[in-house]
Amino acid sequence: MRPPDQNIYAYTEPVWQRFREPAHAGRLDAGSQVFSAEAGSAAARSLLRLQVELASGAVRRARFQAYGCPSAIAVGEWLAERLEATPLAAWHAIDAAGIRAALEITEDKAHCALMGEDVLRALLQTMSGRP
Amino acid sequence: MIYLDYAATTPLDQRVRDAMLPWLDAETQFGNPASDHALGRCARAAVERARSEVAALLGAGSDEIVWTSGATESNNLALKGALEFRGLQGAHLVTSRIEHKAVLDTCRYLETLGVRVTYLTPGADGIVAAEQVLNAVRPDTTLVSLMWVNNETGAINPVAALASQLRERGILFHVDAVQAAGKLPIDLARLPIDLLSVSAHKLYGPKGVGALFVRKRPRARLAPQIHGGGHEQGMRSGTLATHQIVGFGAACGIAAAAMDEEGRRLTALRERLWLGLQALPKIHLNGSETQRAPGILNVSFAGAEGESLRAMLPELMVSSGSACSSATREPSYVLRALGRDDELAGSSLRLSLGRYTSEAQVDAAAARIVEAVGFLRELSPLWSADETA
Repeated sequence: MRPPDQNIYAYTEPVWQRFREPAHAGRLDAGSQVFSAEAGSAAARSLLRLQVELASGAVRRARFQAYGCPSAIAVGEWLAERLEATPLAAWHAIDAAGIRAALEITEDKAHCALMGEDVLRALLQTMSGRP
Repeated sequence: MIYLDYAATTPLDQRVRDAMLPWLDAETQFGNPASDHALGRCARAAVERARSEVAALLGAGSDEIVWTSGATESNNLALKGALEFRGLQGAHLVTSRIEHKAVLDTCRYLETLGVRVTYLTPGADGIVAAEQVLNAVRPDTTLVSLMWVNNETGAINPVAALASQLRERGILFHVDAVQAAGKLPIDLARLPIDLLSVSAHKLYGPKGVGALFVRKRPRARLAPQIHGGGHEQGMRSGTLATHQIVGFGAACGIAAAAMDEEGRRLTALRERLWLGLQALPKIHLNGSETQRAPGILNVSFAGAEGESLRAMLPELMVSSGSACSSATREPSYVLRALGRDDELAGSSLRLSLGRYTSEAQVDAAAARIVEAVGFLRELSPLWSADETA
């Protein structure tokens, strides 16, 4: 089952599209080239897990899991899309403001974008070998 | 579209609509019920017929029914009126944390005027026990206000057991019976409740009209909260809305005739819905399993975030236990009072069934919810962890 067409709560189109079709939803099995990170939003009690599988120094697959509102789920999907499409060296440039702009996230959902930035920073730390 | 929000409001019964329409006629039936001419007398007779129909549903006398604009006004009149008449300063009031906001916000207001209020916490089953109330009353307790049926969980409070004990102690007893009227038998001729609030639109009548039962013997005295022409025995001034009142009366007549059969049918449908949802593991019934109104089922779905769940179900007209806005989710205060944590309170749906609910609707709703919860659990890192734990 996928979420329905009717966006009766008027989520922004980029959010709704990703909520409806989270193509990168899923979990990667543990492996030497699989890196995972989690971040939560205490205010909204959401949780986002982001995983990447590397091959030859590039991302082979990115996957996410999310517990949260449609905006939180959309942030996970957008990040996984971006990580697959963006060279590792450019990941540092992805931040909450960019996530908000891309998904047209409104002020009352800004914490979802912050959670996205947090999980990406945590993933980068994990990949760099730092705890 | 599947409407499962009958506890929020009910559609107007066609028979009620038919009864109301002549009273919107501009030619013959527009009189002011307070006027002492033929048109006024005609309207007044209709208002009094409706008064007797509402009274009959409650086992009350016609002269004990005061028309209001709805249950919010009824609750305001009962609490403010009774306390103001008896004296606000130093008065003590006992109520519960799971009352409707129309009672809770009125209590908060009364606190600013010097009234002291005790808010009781229900048990995990959503019921406020009679002993809790009796333990909370003090020599200075003026009034107890307790809802008959909780609007979120359907749990039934022991108002019948409490009424006579409060009477013995000389304490006024107000009952918000909005979710009970027309669903459960109410006989105020036998039950010594002093004040009781009801609303038309919860039982297939029109919005904008309600009533407060004000006992005559012994007399529950109220200070009016709306002053004007002295209508409604001086307790609630304002020109009466004949068509609304006639609709309320008709709705009560229909509800009284159908109550037993409808109660059985709704109980069976509610159980069918609950059974359908049990295709899902880790769901939680909120409220009492046994002491609850026929048409209300409140369920928490572990691992399915409430706002997303609601967004997944646009074709279901149901109430949700949460809304995530301004970075702060505010789960249902009723479910929190029952001891549900924020997650489970937030992941709840209140499904309330009514006169036009069918088996096919219940089955379709259960299937949609099972699918939606499954989708969200699949997405959730918490659910994966939960399953492998």
